[in-house]
Amino acid sequence: MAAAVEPQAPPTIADVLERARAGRLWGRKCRNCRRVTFIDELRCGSCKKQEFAAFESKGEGEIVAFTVITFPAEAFASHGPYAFVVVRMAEGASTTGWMPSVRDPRQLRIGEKVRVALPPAGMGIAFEKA
Amino acid sequence: MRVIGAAMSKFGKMEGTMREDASRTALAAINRAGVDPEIVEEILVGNAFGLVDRQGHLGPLIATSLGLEGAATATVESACASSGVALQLAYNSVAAGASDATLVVGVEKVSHVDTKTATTYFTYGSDVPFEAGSGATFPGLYATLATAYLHKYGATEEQLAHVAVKNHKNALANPNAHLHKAISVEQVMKSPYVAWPLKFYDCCPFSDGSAAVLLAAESVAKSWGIDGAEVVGSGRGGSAAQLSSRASLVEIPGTRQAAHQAFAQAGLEPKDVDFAEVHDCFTIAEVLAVEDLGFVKKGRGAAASAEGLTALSGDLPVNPSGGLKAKGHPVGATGAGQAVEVFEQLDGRAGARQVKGAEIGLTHNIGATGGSCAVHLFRRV
Repeated sequence: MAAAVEPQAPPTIADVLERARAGRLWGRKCRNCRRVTFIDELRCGSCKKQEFAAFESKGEGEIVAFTVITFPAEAFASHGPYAFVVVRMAEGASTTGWMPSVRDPRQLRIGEKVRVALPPAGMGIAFEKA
Repeated sequence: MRVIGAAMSKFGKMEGTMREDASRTALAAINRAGVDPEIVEEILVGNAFGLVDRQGHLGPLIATSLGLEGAATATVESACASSGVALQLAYNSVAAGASDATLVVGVEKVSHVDTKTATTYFTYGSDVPFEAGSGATFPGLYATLATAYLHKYGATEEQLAHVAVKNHKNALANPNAHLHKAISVEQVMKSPYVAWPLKFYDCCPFSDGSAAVLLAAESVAKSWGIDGAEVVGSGRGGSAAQLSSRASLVEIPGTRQAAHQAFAQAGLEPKDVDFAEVHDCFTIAEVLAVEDLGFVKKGRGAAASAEGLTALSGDLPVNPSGGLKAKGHPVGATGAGQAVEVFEQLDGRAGARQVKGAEIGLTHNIGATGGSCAVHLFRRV
């Protein structure tokens, strides 16, 4: 689903987190080589140019690596256990997030297809099985 | 360049404040060298959580306690590599002639807060909005590396358990170790998951402690008639801050870079190393370290402990001190603590954990998931 309005300026970290609360994943795309990233990158990791545009991910990816955390830090104390995941998005870049519904490692495997989801309590970037 | 003095506190629980403990350990390192404290021109402090604990700027406090208020000081915060990085900066300072004698002091105290709070402190070393902000803990980040490794190489949780068993065994002979408890592979395997596939006994404890190393120009060591241990290689490297930015999750690029620098500088190869103190905050971290340092091929690290290669009596003893896993991991003190162990080993004073015929020792200290790395090589004089 396309965004209603695509801002030209690449998102700040606060912008990314705010949109993640709505179940959407935004990042930045190099204006020169079109490589995408989800971190606050000021020089393209590929062509090293410094001009970026905003882009919204389709929200689809696959699990590169994951864990199931049974002893969370303070902010996530009431949500454990949950999976913490590294996801390679369809657009080529990876991001990290959590899967609140995965409470046992046997529920997930490396290579599994996932999509961005609405995060409980608006926390972080959430994923669910595709 | 030489390490002319070294000392550490008993790792575990610190009764007083960090400044008191660090100052006492610093003085012990100077006294071990047997030099006039006035030769110290610079003090570099490794510390990660001082500000969170409402006491920053430890350098002048330590200097003033030692009666060295004129010394130049700085605090280095590089997460779990704080004092390993401080040691490398001290090396640069002495090598450049900016200081003839630099004292590296590492210190940390976390035992006065509960486990959940300490777990939270540690997450401040991650990319907070993207990693901790989506629920990552440090066991969780290393567990993620572990799943990638086990998946790629077909290694097993039992193989990881052997790392913990070995390091706990080594720590039994280290009076300064935090944990003095022999464990079995079965105990590791039956311990509860902290972050699958890492279990309670795959993880280092939360430790307090301090360690200090006095680095001096060779001319200073000679003028005091001290052999000490020679620093023959000092390297530092980096890796992408976030796991999501790494091309591979089965290696730590910063370790390889730091090791390459240190070995090239020393004119040595991994096969020349007699023993190593590596960063084993979690069992998987030791596995990655022995591979990235060049001791074994990629994918062979998991078998190194299980097959006895890295045992105290093996061909390449790794973590004879007990490592972070059992000697303990007072974050800011860990890197300096590794150098203390190497100093004792090369001086032949390591007691029942002595590596026989130790001539070349290596230390490997990494911050967070390897964003910062320091590797040092020392030679017996």
